[in-house]
Amino acid sequence: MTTVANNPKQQTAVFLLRKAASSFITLVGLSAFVFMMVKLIPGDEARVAAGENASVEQVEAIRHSLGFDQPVPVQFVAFIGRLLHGDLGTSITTHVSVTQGIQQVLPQTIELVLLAVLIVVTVVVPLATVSALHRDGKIDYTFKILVIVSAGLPTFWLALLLQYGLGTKAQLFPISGRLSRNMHVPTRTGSVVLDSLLAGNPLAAWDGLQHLILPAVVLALPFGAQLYRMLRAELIQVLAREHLTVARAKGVPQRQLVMQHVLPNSIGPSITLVGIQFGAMVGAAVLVESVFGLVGIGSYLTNAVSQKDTFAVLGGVLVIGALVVVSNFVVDILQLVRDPRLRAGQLGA
Amino acid sequence: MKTMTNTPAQKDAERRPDPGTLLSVRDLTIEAGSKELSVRLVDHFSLDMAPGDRVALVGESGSGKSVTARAIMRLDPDFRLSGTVDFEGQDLLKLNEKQMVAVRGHKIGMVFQDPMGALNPLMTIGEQVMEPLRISGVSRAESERRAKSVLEELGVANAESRMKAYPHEFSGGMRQRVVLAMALISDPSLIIADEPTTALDVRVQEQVLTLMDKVSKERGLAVLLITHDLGTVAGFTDRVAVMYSGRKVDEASVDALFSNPAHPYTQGLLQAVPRIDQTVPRLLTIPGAPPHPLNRPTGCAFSPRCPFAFDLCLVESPELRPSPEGGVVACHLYGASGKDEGS
Repeated sequence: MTTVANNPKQQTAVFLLRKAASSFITLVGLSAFVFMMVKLIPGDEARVAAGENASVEQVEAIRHSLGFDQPVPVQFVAFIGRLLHGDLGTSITTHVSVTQGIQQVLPQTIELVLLAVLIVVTVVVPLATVSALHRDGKIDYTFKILVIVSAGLPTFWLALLLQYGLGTKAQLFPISGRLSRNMHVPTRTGSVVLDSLLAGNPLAAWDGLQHLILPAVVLALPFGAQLYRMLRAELIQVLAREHLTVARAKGVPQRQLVMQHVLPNSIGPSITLVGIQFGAMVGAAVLVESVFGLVGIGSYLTNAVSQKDTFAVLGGVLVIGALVVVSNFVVDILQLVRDPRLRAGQLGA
Repeated sequence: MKTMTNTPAQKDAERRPDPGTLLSVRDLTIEAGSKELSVRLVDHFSLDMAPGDRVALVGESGSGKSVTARAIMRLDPDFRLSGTVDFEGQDLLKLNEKQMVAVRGHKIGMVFQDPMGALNPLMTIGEQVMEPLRISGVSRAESERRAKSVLEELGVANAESRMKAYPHEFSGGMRQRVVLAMALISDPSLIIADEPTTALDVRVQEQVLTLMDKVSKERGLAVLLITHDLGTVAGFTDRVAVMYSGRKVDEASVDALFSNPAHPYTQGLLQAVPRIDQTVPRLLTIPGAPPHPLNRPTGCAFSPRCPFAFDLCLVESPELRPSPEGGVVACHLYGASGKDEGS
């Protein structure tokens, strides 16, 4: 018999709380790990903060003021304590609060990554579906080769190629930067597209979006290839399932068969993969951002690491970690929505 | 020939060229593989069914019985089919995919072997049972009403609330009822049941068979039952066709087949069935295994395993001839000489 949940809402709440708790533990673990890594990188943080010409006394004074003369565990506890107040510390090179610094760049990266994810999903799902339906046929081979080749192109080279072809030659997209020179949008959220819309300036939003398309495509390609291969394999497996024959024998036409029977049963692993890719894209955005003259969390982190800016690195990594945790959370929810068997297992519904 | 205006209401009123025939399969040949390496899975298979007829298609695994059933529904696009499959006056092999979709599930329902894998795990039972109706444009409320009624007819208790449940909440026997409901909901005139009870335990087998028996009688449904289980055949069907290595080798009424089997292969199959009413020292089996379709012996495909095989059997493949019991049989024992050593 059906075990109807006594209280589905309560069970959902318990599930979400459990997930939130494990996410929190993940973040604490992540920050401890990153903290250790920064301490292990050779070089003297106090020296960097004080500047090249500082005397030994000045360096020691700065070391004391930043708390770097304390034992490492004490430093870590102090860091976590500040973290709980939302204080990620002050950058030792720019002397700006890390929270503020990240706030300025993160939304732009998120914009870029979300667009890339959107491109990946909207292009790959139909491509993989057509491929799987025509398995080992001409279309399948064409797509396969196309995907492998495009994924094999080095990012910087592909970026240059697109800039030249679609930007300079065809004049379809701007080559570099975040917004055209004549556009001005007041910063509110940090996301250019969102800010433009908030400012009631759809032209600027469109302009901002155009600037994002090439970088997003470049960012999307290798991830799209990954998703294509996984989804195609999964689709082929699902296509061989008995319940699809049953559905066909029921008279379900091809289109509905794919949309209602094949895809929902195939996208489980893909949802998980896209969730992982979301985090990886934030990291991979560094290169793309530098080629296309964009700022973002990637460039922020690269600078921080090269300058041994402890708090900036920690802050950056933690924020990316938090993004990954959030995307995993979203993935879990989506899987629950998709699969009633998971709901039964996780929520006892 | 092609009458494509078959709405359910017209189904009974509309007359076919031969009103006595519902399904007429003629020389159905099924080939798979590439053009260079073609495998003939089924060879010139013919079968006639009148409305309400119940016919069993019996044979070992690999004999081509399931492939034949699936070919009637044109479920394997990779197979090359030839011959004719006349159903209600139209040749199914000549229909395009779109026209075929209108036949599948609407005029011919199909029930499958493995009820555990036969349902989409992500859709509710109700959605799946209603699907054939929804496709043909029946309103949601009407579909729900009919789904509920067909599930109740098949003995699913609390049908209305069970329709909201998912397949993993159903047992094997219950799932098979759902599969049956999906096949019946559009009120077809023929049900093809491909080993519908094989994957179920014995008690549930009995329930499902009784149910199929009752429902098909009440609705006047023709049933083509694919099975390797002669026990199932005895209680359920009127006529039996036996397949061996892609060919129909024997066909007779159930009574004739059980009391006086014509083909040596049929005799072997019957001797291999355990009987409650007879004590035998040891259950007989047919020695050997069916040949691979790529590697059939010349002459009669059964000859290497046949206790009565003689020289002609090794050279010439026997044609189907009338058998002494009123059916047809493909065996040289029933040649022009009229020899009958079989029984």
